[in-house]
Amino acid sequence: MKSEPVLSSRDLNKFVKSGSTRLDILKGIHLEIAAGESVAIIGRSGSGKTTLLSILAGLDLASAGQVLMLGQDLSNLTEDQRAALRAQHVGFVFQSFQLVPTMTALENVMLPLDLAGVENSRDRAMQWLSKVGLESRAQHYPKQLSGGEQQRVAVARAFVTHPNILFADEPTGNLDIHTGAMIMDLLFDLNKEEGTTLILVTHDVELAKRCDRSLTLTEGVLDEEDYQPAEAV
Amino acid sequence: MHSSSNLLQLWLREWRQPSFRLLWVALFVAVLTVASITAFTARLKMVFDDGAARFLGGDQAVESTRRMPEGWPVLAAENGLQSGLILQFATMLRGIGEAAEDQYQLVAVKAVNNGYPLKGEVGISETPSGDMETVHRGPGPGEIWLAPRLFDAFGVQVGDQVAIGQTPLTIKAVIQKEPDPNFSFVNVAPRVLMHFDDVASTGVVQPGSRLSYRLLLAGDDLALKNFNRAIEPQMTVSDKIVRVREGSPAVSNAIDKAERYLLLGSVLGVLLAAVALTITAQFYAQQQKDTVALLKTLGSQTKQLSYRYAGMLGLSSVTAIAAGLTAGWMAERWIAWSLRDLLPPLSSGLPLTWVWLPIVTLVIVLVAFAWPVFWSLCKEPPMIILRQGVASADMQRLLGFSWQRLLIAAVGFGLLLWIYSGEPMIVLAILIGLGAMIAVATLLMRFWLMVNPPKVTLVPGALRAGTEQLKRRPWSTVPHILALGSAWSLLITLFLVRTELIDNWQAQIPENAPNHFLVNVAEYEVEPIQQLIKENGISAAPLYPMVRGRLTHINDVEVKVAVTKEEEVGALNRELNLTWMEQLPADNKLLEGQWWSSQNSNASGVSIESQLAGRLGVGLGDRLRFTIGDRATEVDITSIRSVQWDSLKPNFYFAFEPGALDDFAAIYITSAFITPEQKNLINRINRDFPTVSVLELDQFVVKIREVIAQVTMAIEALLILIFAAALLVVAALLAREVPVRQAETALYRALGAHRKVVVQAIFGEFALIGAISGVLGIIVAEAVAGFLQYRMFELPFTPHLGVWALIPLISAFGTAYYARWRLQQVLSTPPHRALQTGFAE
Repeated sequence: MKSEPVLSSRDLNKFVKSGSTRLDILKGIHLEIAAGESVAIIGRSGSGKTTLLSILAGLDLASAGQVLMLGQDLSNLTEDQRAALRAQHVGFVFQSFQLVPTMTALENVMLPLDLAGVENSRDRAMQWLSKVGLESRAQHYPKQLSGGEQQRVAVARAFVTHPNILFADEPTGNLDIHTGAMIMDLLFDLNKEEGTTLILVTHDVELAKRCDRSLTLTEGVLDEEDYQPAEAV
Repeated sequence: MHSSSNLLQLWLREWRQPSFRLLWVALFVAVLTVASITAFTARLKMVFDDGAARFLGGDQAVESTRRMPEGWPVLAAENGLQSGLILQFATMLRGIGEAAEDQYQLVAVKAVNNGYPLKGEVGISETPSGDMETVHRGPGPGEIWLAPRLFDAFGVQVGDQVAIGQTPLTIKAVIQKEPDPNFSFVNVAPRVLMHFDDVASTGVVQPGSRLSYRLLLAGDDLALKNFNRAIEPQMTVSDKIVRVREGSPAVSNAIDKAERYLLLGSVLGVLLAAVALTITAQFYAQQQKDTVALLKTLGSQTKQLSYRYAGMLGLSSVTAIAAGLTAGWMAERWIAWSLRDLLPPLSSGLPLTWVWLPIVTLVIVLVAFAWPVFWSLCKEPPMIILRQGVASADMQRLLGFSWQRLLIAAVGFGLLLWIYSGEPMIVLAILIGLGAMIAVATLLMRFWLMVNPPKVTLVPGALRAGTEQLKRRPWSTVPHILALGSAWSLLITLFLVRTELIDNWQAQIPENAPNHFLVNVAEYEVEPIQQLIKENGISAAPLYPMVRGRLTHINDVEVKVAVTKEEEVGALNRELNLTWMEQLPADNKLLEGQWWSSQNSNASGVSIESQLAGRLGVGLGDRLRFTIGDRATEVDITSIRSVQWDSLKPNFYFAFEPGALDDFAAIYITSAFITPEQKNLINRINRDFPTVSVLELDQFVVKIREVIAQVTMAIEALLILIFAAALLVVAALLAREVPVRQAETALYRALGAHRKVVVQAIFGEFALIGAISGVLGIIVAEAVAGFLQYRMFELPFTPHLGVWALIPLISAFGTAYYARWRLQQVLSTPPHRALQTGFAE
């Protein structure tokens, strides 16, 4: 390994119990992701991609196994400690954008800065809005924006805190092909610029190819067949 | 829906949705509130009537100064009425035997037949200080029961004999408590009970004797009406029918006011239920918008959709009515059971209103408050509903408050209030109050947003974060504030009126209310009596002089001519007690003119009681002529004052200027509070001042207190019911907010917000909503309560500073803690799942 992994998991399992039956969603996931790497997790609907992403990001807890983020075992942290870790080091882009409907575009971008108690949040958020080409829509509410615009706001919000790790869950899933491609260009450009570690969940193989490596999730089991570290470096 | 089984299936499917269940619960609570309040009110009315009947001694009495026709008791029995006959007169009780020989004492005799007492019971004992037992009979023939004080005065005990007129009677018991302690100036002397059949043999009842006959009747209203119709042709001017509420003004006033209060309570309870229903209906409709959009996309028409929702609401109503009535019935049984020691058992079942009123109410509430929300959802084109991110104005128009909807709701409110109160005044007062609140809250919110738009998203500090949160969603916050404000205003209105009412009653009959009158005090006895009162530490009203006279002329016109015949003024048909006084008594109020001062006195002024002045049609400056004995005196009206007739203190229609009655002989009167331990003092007064008569009203005062205690308890129970309805409003409001906040909270958490920051923001926002609602509620409640108090209960308005300080605080913390509790789960679970659900619009 070229450096300490920023994110790793060991023997990660997730299951839900419904009465006497047990449904295994993730089975013995083992992975390591290095700093600055971009990794795609691909798989069919229902293969457990989003669940894996949620657990890796500390939004959900594993049933068994370990997740280490920047050397910290997530299962040993409280919900608040995990939140603090996310505030400092993690950014998100969701399939359904997840913008707060009662806030303007600018305020949505300011949100993580305010949460982290960063000064000058307005100016910094404005800079990022310009970077995604939305400075003229700063005072508009999510309802007044198109899907592509909303996702660009979400991208700006994800990068505004300069996170170490960016999780993107089907970021183009709700967008048309053209808009989706634009969003992905933006995402990869910024990722390169910021040196962020990107973990992208998608079912689009073409999109996955743009990442350093891709992992395939099939019925809860991770298969690392397309590992191409050399090409990426 | 095509068939009822389809509808049932659909209904059962929807039942899985929490929002639908909440709507059903609101329907259920509406029915339960109305049913239990109706049942409770009906029951209390029966209890009140029963209490008043006990006071009168029956459901109705026929009073007469002559012997009533023999046929009347027979007629009563034929109509299925119970009856009892009472004759009251004053006479001398004579001692028999060595110790009491030649002793005489004026007594108030009550001769009763076997029917006595019709209602309530008589308390008797073996010795004056012995334990009281209650019996449902009067003395038998040849027996006599005496008031405690007579035992000491005559030196007799149970088993000895005393005589009334010619007839010796055996003392069988000490009277401790009478069920019908009505008092009049006939009963100046201690009470004696004997059998009606013994009266004739005593020989004391002669033509010209001052007698008071009373035929007591008990039975249902219809039988009483039939009886009254039958005796009417035989009635003379000496006969008078006294109905249950006319027995005693102090008691009937208290009961009338309590009834009005209960009425007001049910109106406000229904309004609260309506507010809860509106909120839950909106909540459910909001959740249904995707389904409606989908069904429309798939080709459903407005008509089909409206049938669908009408069917669902209909089925929900039917089940809610069934469950609500059952629960209401159980609640009523429970209240009856838990208060069984305090309330007498019901004489008849619950009235039919108990069933139809909840149903009618529910239909009105549904049509006026819930249906418009569903209707507007059904008739919109699907794209408006389906489009991701509907503009907030559209959404507000669809599901929020709109002027049309408010108008429909106002008509519904009005209709409900009309059904419940039958008084347009209450309807208007409450509608105007709530309407003003809506207008003021909306304007203030707009103004606030205009001068101070939202700035930062999440800022440290609960209040600032809360303020920003609140400003960020004004059009969901304003309805919250209004609903919560309405709940508060209704609850506070009820509380304020209750407090005023109870305080007023208690002030009317305070702990040391006068319970004895001293009458017939001669001028030379005034000072020794005052001395005696002072020595024994007894609180008493001043001694008022009293001269009996008749009003004969108004401005030199004969009174019979001056006052039209239609205006029958009782005060003109008898001699009046005239007094003079230097100071205005504390419980009188000067309404017009001036009270006399000692400097410019020419002793020719009179102050008249305001209601009598109105009936006589006289005012300041009018000249009145009185005939006192065989002489006349003239005075000018210099002031008009109000008098507290039920204060149990000496009260007068006419108060003369000191000196104006100096030429006439006066006797004096006062009232005093004498405790049971001080009762011996009465014997001393009787012994030392033989001409002075002592009126014992202590039993009467105790009885009034009992009735007031019952009424107070009833009002408090009602307040608890209404409070429960208010809680439901708050619960419904916050239940609606939970899904909205879940996604938002989860996102904050995903983005790394510390729990504390989120909690603070939620806490601050809801505390602010609570506080503003509290303040709005108080403003409306003060205005409405003040108005109602003045118009319905004739009580003066006073601001309630304690409430002003307390309610916003309680409201703020209560709402904030409740919201936090409801969102606790969201705060402590990983944000993963809530994020998947997304933002509720």
